[in-house]
Amino acid sequence: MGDREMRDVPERDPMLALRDDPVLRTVVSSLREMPPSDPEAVRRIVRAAVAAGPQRASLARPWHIAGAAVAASVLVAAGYIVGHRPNAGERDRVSTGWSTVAQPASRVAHGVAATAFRLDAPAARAVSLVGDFNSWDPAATPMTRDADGRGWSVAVTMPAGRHTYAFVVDGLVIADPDVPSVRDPDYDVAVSALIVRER
Amino acid sequence: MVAPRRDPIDRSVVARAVVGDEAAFTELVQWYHARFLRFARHMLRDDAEADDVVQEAFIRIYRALPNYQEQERFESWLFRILANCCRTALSRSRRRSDHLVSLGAREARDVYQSPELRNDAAWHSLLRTALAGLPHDQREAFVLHYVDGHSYETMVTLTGVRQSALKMRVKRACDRLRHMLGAPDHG
Repeated sequence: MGDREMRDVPERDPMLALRDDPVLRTVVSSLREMPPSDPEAVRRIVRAAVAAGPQRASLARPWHIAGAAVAASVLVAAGYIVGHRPNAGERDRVSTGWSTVAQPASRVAHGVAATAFRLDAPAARAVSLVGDFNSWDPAATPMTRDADGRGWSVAVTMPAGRHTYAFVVDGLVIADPDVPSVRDPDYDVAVSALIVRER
Repeated sequence: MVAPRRDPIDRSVVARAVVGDEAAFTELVQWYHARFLRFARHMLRDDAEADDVVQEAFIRIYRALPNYQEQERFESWLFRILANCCRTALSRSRRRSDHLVSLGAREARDVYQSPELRNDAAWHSLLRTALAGLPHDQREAFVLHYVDGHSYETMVTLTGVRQSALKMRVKRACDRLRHMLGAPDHG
């Protein structure tokens, strides 16, 4: 079984190794008993954590509060991210400033075929695309480095409608630096918006 | 017996907690609180101290969430913080624990070898005494592997210790527990 397969299967319960060891099996079974749930303790812990507050935002972690747009600006100023450049196919399908929904969208893509995303981030080590279409999971849609060594690209198929998205660059969430950002009402951070139209 | 909850928390909850969503963080605490408490109680013996250490660990997690790197398995990251908090607490109370352990080993054999004494309270007291009789590094490895179900591969990430050393610690912990509980040596 290769490494990848090993990671994809659930971990084997170590208890299975104690099949022939009744004493330790009894010991482990007893030690595995869970304390009862304690909602009051959970509330107390959350209150204490929130009161302590997150670590202050810095260039290393603008996930919180500081806002993706600010972070993107800093990174652009530092030459870390050069900017978003639609690729040739995308340029035909994207127009900025067009919207058919109440909230303004920054991009419009036609068709439910794959929508291309590209970000120039030559100094980045890992870039991924997050959005409502992948539950904002930074591991779900990794972007691959382009042949020019500067840009990162991925194409995603998503249903027609309005979508919000952002890039995760070495752990930092940033809005698309090439289009106006919008405020995500759920998380209160700057993200980008995209409308996918039916063909 | 209640089986440990081994299924990992939904990634979308983690992603929301990382960007500062308080409801997601609450969900995260609810998900891991019992497992954290169980681990801390096994490591520290004193329940009140375990409560404090679990709270401290969650506060550290909340403060560190913006720094969480997706490359690392989330549960390994959480348990590393908890294990560090337990180590710090242990260093404060080592002298007291050592004293209790020397009393506990004899007590343990008596109870194990007399089934009529093995009511729930006595048995659990015995187990905790026996666990406390293990050196900290062996106890940590044993609890992570057998009680919390972490693989050795995960434990390497979590502790920074080589896999061969971790296996040795677990083996020694097993041998020592069997000895303290009056069980025959196991091959």
